[in-house]
Amino acid sequence: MFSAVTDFLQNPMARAKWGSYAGRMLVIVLAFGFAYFPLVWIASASLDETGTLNTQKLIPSQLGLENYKALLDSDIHPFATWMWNSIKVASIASILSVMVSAFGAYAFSRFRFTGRRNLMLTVFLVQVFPNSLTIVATYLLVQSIGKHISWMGLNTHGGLILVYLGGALGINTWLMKGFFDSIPRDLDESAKIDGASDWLIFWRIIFPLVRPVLAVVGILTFIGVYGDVIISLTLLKDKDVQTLAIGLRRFISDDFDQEWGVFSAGALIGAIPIVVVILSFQRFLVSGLTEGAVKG
Amino acid sequence: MEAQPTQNNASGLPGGKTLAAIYGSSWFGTAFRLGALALIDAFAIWFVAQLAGEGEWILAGFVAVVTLGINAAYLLNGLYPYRWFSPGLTLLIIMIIYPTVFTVYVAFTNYKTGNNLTVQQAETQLLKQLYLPEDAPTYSWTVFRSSDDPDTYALWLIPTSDLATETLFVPEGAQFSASEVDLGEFELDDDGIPTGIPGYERLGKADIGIIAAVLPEIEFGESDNVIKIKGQRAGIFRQKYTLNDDGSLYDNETGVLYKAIEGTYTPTEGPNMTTDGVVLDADGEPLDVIRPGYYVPIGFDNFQRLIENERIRGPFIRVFLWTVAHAFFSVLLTFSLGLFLSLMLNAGFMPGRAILRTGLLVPYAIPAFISVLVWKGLLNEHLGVVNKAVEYIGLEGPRWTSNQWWVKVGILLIQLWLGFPYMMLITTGALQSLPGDIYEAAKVDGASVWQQFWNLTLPLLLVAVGPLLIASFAFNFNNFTIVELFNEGNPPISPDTAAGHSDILITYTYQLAFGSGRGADYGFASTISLVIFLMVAVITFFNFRFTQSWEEISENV
Repeated sequence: MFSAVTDFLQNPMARAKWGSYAGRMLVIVLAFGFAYFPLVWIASASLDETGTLNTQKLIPSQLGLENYKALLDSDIHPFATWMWNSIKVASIASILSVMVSAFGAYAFSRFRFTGRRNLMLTVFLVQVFPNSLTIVATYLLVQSIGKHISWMGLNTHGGLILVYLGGALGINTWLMKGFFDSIPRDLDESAKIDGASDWLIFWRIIFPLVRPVLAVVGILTFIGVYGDVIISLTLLKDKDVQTLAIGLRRFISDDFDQEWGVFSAGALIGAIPIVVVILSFQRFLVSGLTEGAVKG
Repeated sequence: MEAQPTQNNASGLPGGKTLAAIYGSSWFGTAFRLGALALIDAFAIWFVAQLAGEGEWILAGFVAVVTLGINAAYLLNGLYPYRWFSPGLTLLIIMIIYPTVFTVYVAFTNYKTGNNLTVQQAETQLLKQLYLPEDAPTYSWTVFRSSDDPDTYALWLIPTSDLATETLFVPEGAQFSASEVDLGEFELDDDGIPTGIPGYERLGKADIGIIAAVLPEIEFGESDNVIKIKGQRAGIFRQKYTLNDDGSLYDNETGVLYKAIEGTYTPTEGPNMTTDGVVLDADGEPLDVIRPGYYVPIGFDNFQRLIENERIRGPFIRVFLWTVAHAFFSVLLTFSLGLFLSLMLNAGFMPGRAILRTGLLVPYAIPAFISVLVWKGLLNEHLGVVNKAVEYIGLEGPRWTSNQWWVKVGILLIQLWLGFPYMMLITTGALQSLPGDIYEAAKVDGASVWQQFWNLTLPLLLVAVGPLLIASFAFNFNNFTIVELFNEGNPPISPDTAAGHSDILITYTYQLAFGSGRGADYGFASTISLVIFLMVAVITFFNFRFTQSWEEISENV
């Protein structure tokens, strides 16, 4: 023990190593402080029954679940409805989007046809431009559609989902196509000899094998739709059809500082599902995001 | 491998009872396919007819072309693979490509509040308008409500002018003279009004009060002899405007001719036309243009406004510069912190690195709309915890939402919080794939840690993550969520413009089109959209050139 201390004091290498370790730990602690301070703060606010921005302290003076109760009971801010709308819209949009994209990926992977190359490049190029750039025209389009088909117009979930589906045939199709290519064609061939149609091959053979990539694409689409602000803000006006992303925004305009505790409770409930999904599937989701970095 | 249309594969097989044989290519599949196609066609024909009737020619054309494409794919065996693309391509063409084309079109029109209809829609609406001529027969009225349908009403009319000759009973869509009405058990009161009519009940004052708002809107009587209520009187209304062959409108009430100038019906003559072309009515008040008008192409006017109009150009340049600066500093700050942290965590002797890394991912996992709103509370100027802490140590709290510089600092601070984990993630991956031997060589040459970082690590890293940094720049160039939710682009630059100090191009576009209080200017908003399009195209082109990823993509096809 004693020798370790003298060694530490006399040996510059060991000292540098310890110093560097302590320095690094300090940086990490500061980073954690920065990353978690807002979260700790709203977690505390959500449990603070005084409920306003002004009266909140780090350690709540009146601890309790009053804010959560108020959140679920409120008619002014129908949080449960918003949450349900978000989950409904994001689920439908991501399932349909995965199906549409998988059909395309299957055809890109299994067929050779005129225009294939140009179509693939077009699909890649189109998704470079986010559809928020055409938000004015999209709004006018949904308005026009709604005049004739009321459940796909402004202020409807049908119209909103339709806009989200516009990009279904996009970069996701590329991601899936790569995965589809890795499924041996021998499987298709032997099924074909047994008389299976392409549809049956897709549905019975390929589909079960590509479920992992479909799940990843589905989750990414779900997260994307759940977090969308610009399209839902443009299309949805009524409180009861709005999604969480724009519903929560109502807290800002209506006495934000008075409703701070209730808002915090809503923010936490709204964030937790997504955080859990991302952290649990981190390895699968992140590999898609960072692929380019390692390839370089 | 060539595409093999497989419609006929199953027919020659021995085990014809398999599912494959039934669904694959049999009569069932063909019938199902043709049936579905017929339904799609029927729907499409109806929809195109509707759109064309409203004058929505571009959209009608897109729907027609897409429908023809679907038919071709399902009827021609040579186009078989396109059947698999039919849902995806339909959505892509209608929901992405059409809006893109329409954005370009709208940018060259005066589509805005007041001129927001097609010619057909505007004419249809205006031709529906009615007025009560001065020489019209007028009546005093009593309202009856249908017993079967409580939303349907009828009037009992007693003449009050010489032109009105007889007492009438007028439900919506029909007209009877009083003598034709079978009163049944009811009778007339002292004023000559029935106390009731079979199938109808007479409404008292209280009931009329409830429906007072809708009553003047209801058109009673036959369609060519419409009777409406105006105040205490009811009378036979006439069509207010007559449409001439040249598209101008004649106002039957005032006798003024309105010509459509750039889609706005503007008076051309009237009782009193002043020398400078303003038309006055009989009381000397200027005559207004008629709304609604329609939108028409106006050439490069929107672009000209952007370039030549000082009050638009000034704010636009500010917004543009901040858009670029915001994207640049967002990437720079998040990349710097992310890289710094991944270097700190990358040393071999750091215990629990994986857990610490996952722990730092949490801000990235929270949906951005939630984080921004939370930060909006933390950065509240008067009550937020950040300013309370700053004031506690005796400094003045920054005006995060009302000062034009602090609002930008606030947005970048939020960006940093949201974005550093992503940068940490990608730089960690890239750092681990750097070759170790070059560092050995550098050490042998006596390079210091700093020299190694600046001359080896950073350049190699930038090559690896460069495309992702550019993509991040492009994303933040259009980061609507943060700017809109944090401060809605405020504080305002001046009362003359919709642009605010923290607005970026995409939020400015949104304000122009959907912002409250100024009216919507879709044409000009689309013009700004085209500017963003151009910028994104340039960034993307640069990205492809810089990284040669386009070649890689083309090879992967």
